[in-house]
Amino acid sequence: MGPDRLLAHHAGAIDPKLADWIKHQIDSVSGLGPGTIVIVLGAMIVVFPLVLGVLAVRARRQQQQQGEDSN
Amino acid sequence: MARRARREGTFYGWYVALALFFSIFLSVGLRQGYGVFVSTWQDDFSVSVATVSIAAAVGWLMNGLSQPIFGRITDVMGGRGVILVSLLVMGGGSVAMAAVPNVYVLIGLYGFIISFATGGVSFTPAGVIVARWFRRKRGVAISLLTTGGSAGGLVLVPFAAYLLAFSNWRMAWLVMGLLILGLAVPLIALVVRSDPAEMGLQPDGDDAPAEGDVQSGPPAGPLDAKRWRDSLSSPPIWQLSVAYVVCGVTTASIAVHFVRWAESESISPGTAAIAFGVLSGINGLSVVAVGLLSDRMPRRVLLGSVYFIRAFAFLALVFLPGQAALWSFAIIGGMSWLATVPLTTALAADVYGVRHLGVLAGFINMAHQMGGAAAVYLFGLVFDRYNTYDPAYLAGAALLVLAAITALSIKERKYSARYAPVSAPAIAQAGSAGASTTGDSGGP
Repeated sequence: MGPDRLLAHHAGAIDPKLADWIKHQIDSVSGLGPGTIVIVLGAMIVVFPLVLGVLAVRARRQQQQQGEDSN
Repeated sequence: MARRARREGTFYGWYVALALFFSIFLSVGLRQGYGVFVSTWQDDFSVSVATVSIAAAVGWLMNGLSQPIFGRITDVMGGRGVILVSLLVMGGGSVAMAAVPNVYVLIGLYGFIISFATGGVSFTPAGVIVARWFRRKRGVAISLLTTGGSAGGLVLVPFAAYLLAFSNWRMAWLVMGLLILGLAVPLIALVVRSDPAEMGLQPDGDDAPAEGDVQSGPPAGPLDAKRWRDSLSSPPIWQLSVAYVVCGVTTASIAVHFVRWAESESISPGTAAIAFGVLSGINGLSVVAVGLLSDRMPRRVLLGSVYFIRAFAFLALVFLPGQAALWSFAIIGGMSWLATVPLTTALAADVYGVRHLGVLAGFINMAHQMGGAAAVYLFGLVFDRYNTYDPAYLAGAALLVLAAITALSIKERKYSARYAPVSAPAIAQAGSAGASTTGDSGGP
């Protein structure tokens, strides 16, 4: 039993068999090709930091504005 | 007590926590995603699974060892710089993985460099930053980071698997490296600040404290010490570490041996995987629930309860028959799986303040990793000798009861800033007098 069998606690590598099984389940449920799923998951990964960055910049500007108004 | 902020909008600390959530998401996802490539490398490099696994084993060790080092650097230079540099190394290393020519370079690059760097994008520096930004809502904010790790496994691992299916492993690592360099690095640089004071803010978004207010400046704790080594002479750091070693022992052993245990009970790997998915789902809910509860009640009580609950899960594996054991463990164990992370980090911050929290949290996390590594080996030995995991699981249950008692024995009302507020003069006194002395004087 090697360390390659580490599953998902903290930051160990996932069990290769489990990863393969999960992929098989997603395939059978979604019926989508790998390219489509890469695009869907990739979009989720890309959109989150972009939206967060925009919101954070807006919040910082709003805060600066409030600081100037209070002064 | 500082007055609550009357500003409009969301407290900026939540944006910081969410940006750190994303960095943890990538860091944990990248390391868990390693398993996706094992069989491909086995074929490409014409080596055994065991050889490819050396990189994962070395990586586990390096990640553990790096924690106190990055923790110390976080205390001295701030967590933002640590996370940024670590992300650059992680991202650059992942891009370089695309050009790995053989398994030896793989071991060097992934096992040593990338895994060491992921220690700089872990709960240690991220937890310190969040602990600086939050005082009253520290538990729920740190639990948000913890869910980032769970989300990394849920999203990035399938993403890596489909990238591999869609192209090849070199392209997959290149894309993941570019995601880190192109998204995480700018996000952390843009959004995260190591301390709210850098933006003229107070923890929790409170207004600036009036002169003489307690809890002004960076969050302190009754055992705040001038030198971090002084903290080692106080009981809570050892109580937290001992309990966290048991956390590492019981989670790493299950993580590695769960499928094999299921097979020994004539349960299919697929059913075991579904059960582990149930465990992960319940775990996600329990981490958030524990975070919310821990800001309203004593953290030691919750921490002790989490260890007790996990002990019952281990006993279920021994005393219940196959399927009943599997699902009982998934449900009961799910309530406790990652819930220890926000509780332990938040409690350490409450007790010791944030001045040396990086190195102290780093030591606690290293203890977790070392305990986990030892348990993975020892549980395997037990199975090989007795052809059953029962003795190992019984030992795990006994250790968990010990961990629960240890956590419950922490004198939180005496040592936590939540119950024994620390004034600025007391912190200065703590610095000159040492941890144990001030701890005694800091109680109500």
